[in-house]
Amino acid sequence: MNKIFSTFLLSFKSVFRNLKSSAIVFVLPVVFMSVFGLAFGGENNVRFSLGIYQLDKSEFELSRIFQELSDEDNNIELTISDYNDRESLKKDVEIGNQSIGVLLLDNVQSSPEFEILLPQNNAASQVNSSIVLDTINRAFFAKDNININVINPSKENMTGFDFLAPGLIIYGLIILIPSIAQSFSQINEKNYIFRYTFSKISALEIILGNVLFYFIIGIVQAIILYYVAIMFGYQTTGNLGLAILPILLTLFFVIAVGLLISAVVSKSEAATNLGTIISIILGFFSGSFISGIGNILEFDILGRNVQFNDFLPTKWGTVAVDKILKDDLALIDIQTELWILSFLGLIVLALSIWIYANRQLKYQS
Amino acid sequence: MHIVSKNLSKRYRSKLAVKDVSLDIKPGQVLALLGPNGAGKSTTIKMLTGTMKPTSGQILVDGVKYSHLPHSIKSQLGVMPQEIIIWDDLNILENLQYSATIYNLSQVDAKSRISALIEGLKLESEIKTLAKNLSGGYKRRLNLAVSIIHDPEVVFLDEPTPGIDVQSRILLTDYIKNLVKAKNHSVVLTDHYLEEAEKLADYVVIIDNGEIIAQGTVQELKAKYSKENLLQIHLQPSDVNTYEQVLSYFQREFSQAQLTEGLISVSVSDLSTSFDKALSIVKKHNLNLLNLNIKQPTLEDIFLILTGRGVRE
Repeated sequence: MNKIFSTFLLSFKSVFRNLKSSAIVFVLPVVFMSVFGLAFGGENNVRFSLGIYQLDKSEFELSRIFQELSDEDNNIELTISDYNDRESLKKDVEIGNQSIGVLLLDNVQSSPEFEILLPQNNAASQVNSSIVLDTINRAFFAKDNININVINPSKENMTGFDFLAPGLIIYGLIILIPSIAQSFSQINEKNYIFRYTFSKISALEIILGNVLFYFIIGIVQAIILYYVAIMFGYQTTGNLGLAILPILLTLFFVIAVGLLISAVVSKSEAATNLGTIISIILGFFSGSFISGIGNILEFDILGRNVQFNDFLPTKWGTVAVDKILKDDLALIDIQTELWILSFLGLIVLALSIWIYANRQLKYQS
Repeated sequence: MHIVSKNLSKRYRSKLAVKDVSLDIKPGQVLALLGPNGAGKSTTIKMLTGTMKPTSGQILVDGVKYSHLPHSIKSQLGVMPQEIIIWDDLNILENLQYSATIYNLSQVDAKSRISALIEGLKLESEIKTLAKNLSGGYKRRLNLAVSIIHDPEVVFLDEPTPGIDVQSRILLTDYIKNLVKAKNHSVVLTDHYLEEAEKLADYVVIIDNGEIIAQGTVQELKAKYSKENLLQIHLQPSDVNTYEQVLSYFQREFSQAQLTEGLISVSVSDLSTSFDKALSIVKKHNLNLLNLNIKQPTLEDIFLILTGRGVRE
């Protein structure tokens, strides 16, 4: 156990003390998520829409106060809409037509009562709500009379990014393939195998130490990407904790692919390049960049219509994560995906460990 | 641990790389395995350390016969390769700690071994420096330290000091000497620096074309081959005489004449006659004699006499 943990620490230090490796592992997936978030996601931080429902406009108009704010501050671009009934405003916040809703329920100027409607898990709206709160406080000193109502967004108004985000989270795992391939091929390329040959560490302990590291990195990666996706407006009502299980199972396959590459390619540069090509292809077929691309490769097996990416655990990882995060399904509802993931992932991982150990770590005869 | 090899041979297809090599690696002894490049040293070392299976022959470890060393024996050996194999992204201390872990050393043993190696190989000043940023000398020292972290009784050192500063070379040589003296460990050494091997080795085995051509203590080898003195003739070739032509003039009179780095070396038993003969060749061919001297052979000279090649050839 000590040898596995020490090998885990060795991998950890090797990646984090190497700027290029850590950039590939952590920065690249975040960049992907951010680019897709900006391209297909919702509003940004300084431009947002505000729906206002004011019961009595006899003494002042709330929309005028916010309009003045927008006119005075060049960094804030507000689209203000007045509503005649509160239900319409609530509905529009739910379906994403309005970023934030403000309801003025009582018109007594000394202590007006406000309600602010915010869509759940929309980080941009939550950040922008501070601007709305500040404005109300400055105008009415009504800090204690503001109720914030967080409401679930409606699925009718999903953006393209909402469909892509689960695939991009899985892509954060897929992008580990080049690093895994590089790290395992370096065992031979840098002749560390020579050291292991005369030591008491077994081939399995070497593999497990490295594999453990990539499991932890993969999970941390997925959590980071989840929050980056939320920042860019990913609308989710699901439980990230539950999504960790399909993520973990997808990692079995990802690590297996990295191991297989290093089993056949002994030069680390070639292994990294091959890993990069494979990870991009896997990303496409797993719905990371274009949802449903696997449909273009369909064929019949025993009278059943099968798609090419049905054989890719990363596709099932994307489907499972999507169902948990977007549709708020429980694990029991995605049993099929989990079984396929476990079956394919574990078989490929066991096979790859065997091939790698026999081709590259065969020294303990 | 006492390792003996009996008639080890290795055949690669039609080529016999090593033929009937028998060695006795005695405790408390430095055995130097010397030979020109391609002589079969590395193949012999690989077979002795269990990383290559011999075609025939046996290895006896403490009297137990093996045709190929099992992993349980291999992990008791200390093997320092010529190539530097250290973990680049770990510092000196981390390299030693990781090595101690993969050799299953207990925390107490690891701590005392690491301290001893840091002190003995003077690694303290660079202890926190990443291996990839170390100088060549420190890398070599660390290469040795990780190879012997488990305090092995038998250590194989393949060219321990190439291309490093004098200070590091002296340090490593002294450390190896002390390893044998203080702990009664055995060391098998291959070296291109014959002067260094001469200082270190208790027993020398010269191998060429896969076969042992001479063996004994340095004194024994000198006694055996120094019956003949070495006549060294340093000439400057004229426009019409190349070094090869000059060598051919001498080879007519002295069949064993060798040419290395512009120096004709002739092993002679009758010094005065040979001296006259050499001078007459110089006169006859109108050669430009720069220097002529007589010397007792060193290990390098013996090597040259026996193999006809320099150790780096």
